[in-house]
Amino acid sequence: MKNTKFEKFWDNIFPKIRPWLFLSPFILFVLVFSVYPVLRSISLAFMQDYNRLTGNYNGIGWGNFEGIFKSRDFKNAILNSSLYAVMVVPIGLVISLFFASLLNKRLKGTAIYQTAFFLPLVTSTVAIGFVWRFMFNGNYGVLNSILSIFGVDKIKWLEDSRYSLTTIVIYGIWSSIPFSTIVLLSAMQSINKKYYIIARMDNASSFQMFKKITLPMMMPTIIILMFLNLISSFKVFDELQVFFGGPGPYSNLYTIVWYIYEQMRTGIYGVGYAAAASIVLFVFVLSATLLLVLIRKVWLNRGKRLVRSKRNA
Amino acid sequence: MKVVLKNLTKKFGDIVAVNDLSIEIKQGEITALLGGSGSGKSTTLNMISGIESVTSGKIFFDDTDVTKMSIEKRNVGYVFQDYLLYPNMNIFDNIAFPLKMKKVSKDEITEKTELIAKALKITEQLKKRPGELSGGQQQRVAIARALVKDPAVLLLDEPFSNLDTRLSLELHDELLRVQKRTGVTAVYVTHNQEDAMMVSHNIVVLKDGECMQYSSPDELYHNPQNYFVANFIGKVEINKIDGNIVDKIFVSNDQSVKLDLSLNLQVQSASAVSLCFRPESVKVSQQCDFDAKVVACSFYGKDVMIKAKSNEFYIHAFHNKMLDTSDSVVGFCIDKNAAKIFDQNTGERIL
Ligand SMILES: Nc1ncnc2c1ncn2[C@@H]1O[C@H](COP(=O)(O)OP(=O)(O)OP(=O)(O)O)[C@@H](O)[C@H]1O
Ligand SMILES: [Mg+2]
Repeated sequence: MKNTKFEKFWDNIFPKIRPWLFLSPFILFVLVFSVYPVLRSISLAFMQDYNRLTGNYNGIGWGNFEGIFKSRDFKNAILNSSLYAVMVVPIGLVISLFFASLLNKRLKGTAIYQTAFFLPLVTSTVAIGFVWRFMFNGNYGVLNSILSIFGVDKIKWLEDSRYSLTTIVIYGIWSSIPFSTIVLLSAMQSINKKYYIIARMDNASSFQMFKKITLPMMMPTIIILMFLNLISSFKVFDELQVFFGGPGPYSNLYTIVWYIYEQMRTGIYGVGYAAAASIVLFVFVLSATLLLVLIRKVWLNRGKRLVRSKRNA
Repeated sequence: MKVVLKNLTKKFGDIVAVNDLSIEIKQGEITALLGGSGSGKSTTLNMISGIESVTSGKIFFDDTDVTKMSIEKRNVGYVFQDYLLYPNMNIFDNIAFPLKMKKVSKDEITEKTELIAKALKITEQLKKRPGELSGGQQQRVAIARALVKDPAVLLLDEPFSNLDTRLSLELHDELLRVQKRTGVTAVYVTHNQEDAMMVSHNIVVLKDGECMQYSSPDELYHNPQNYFVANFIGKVEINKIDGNIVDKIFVSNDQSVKLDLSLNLQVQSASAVSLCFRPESVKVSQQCDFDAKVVACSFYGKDVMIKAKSNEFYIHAFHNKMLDTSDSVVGFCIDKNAAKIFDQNTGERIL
């Protein structure tokens, strides 16, 4: 028997709030660690001369943005991050595609290779980075030994500022390969094998088969990988610390994330700059993503568009 | 080109997919490979095309032994259930692709492609991409692509199973027409006997990788060589009454049916046999070979199909009007000339 008014009220209200009770730990987590920081950094980006010690600031405006765009380091960061993305994403994908087609040939021990390919993914950047430091070493590094076969002089990968971008690009390409290869491989394996039988009956060469069947069938996957790799290209940070102990041997290799990190750490007024730079990073990634969404759309609709434009003509 | 299979056998480990198959597929005809799932139809087709190697036996295209020839050299056209068109080429390029690979001149490519496209009524679609075509249209393109290279033999593996009945009918028609026009030798795999009957000049009935009968659709229906074929073929199951032959008279196990077959029968007597006859070979009439109780009546085209029950067996027959299904017992007359007798143990035809 329900007697008190409260008990009746509770019976009514409890089913409604129960789902929220279950969700509350997660919601709290998202609010504290995602929503609040995002809102806070947006507001910080527009607070001019924000003093991290006193919390005072000098009005609302674009001051922080003007500041970072005047900064040589930030311009350097944008340039480096863009160059890095432009090189790492396509080269990494082409190499991954090559490895995926090798693995797809069902050679002996494919399973072992597949595991080997996955290993770097689950090892920390720092541990791998130290191994790469040995390989990049100017005197006894394996990279220079290989290059010396082709008559290339010793390169000081880690000390010579002319090569620092190349160094992290090489590392970036290498580290993007496992994930891309695994994803491409699974896409490749889902292509109906009968396509290749038909193509063989039509006397198509392996290259023709790759061009006419494999590549078009994998295009949606390739575009998605471009998304993901592009986004991670803008987040280069750990390897700078490991290879150079900073943004390049002569502070020549700022990336956007490193710039944000440094502004955050140094100076009383750095917080505003860091926040503004994060927003620039966000806009960068967003526009790159939108561009890819557009490419993807065009790719998926290309046939239909052709017909429509012809009908209109 | 005729295709000759000699003692063709294919084993996958312990599974014998095709067992000592010897048939000659005639030039310029459509020959169907008909059988249930796992009967070895696709495997046979794949050996003809070169997709599968043979375990033993030989394959000839005319007089050429192609058993060891590679897929590329056999010049076969293949149409699968899935259309498998090249996704980023338009329809014209899809059809023309085999010719391009053969380095045929541009003019000839255009001419041949347009001709075959016209034959398959896809001229309108030539500029479109595969994704914009319906399933039926895509399969037309696949057939055109297989035919454009003047293949030695056209192989089709359940080509129309993805399509609805109407469309499937339409494409069967189209296939017949195009085959007649080009005179190509075609092998058509299907598990659907109506499809096989509709398009093919001859049918190979397969069971467990063995040929049960190889003859024209008409022969297959009216003159089955064994009980498997008799039972397998036909929209309505063939009627079957178990019994024995005593002095050239068939006597059913329950003694209710006695049929004098002395005019046609060779053997004097035999035990454990089945008397089989198609529903259209049995008539409802007053006083006749046996009586049975009507249990169901249903419309079946212009006739009514009657299902009746005797002591030990069910019978299907066609009649011109509905019958009372409540407790009515009617007489049935079997057309003796259409009756067949099979040995129950071996399935062999006795009469
Ligand atoms: N690659 C293979 N490996 C092992 N066994 C196979 C292989 N291909 C076919 N078989 C077996 O061979 C037998 C015949 O198969 P097949 O595909 O020829 O049958 P089918 O008549 O085409 O049947 P369906 O109508 O189901 O396509 C089956 O028992 C099948 O399991
Ligand atoms: Mg099959």
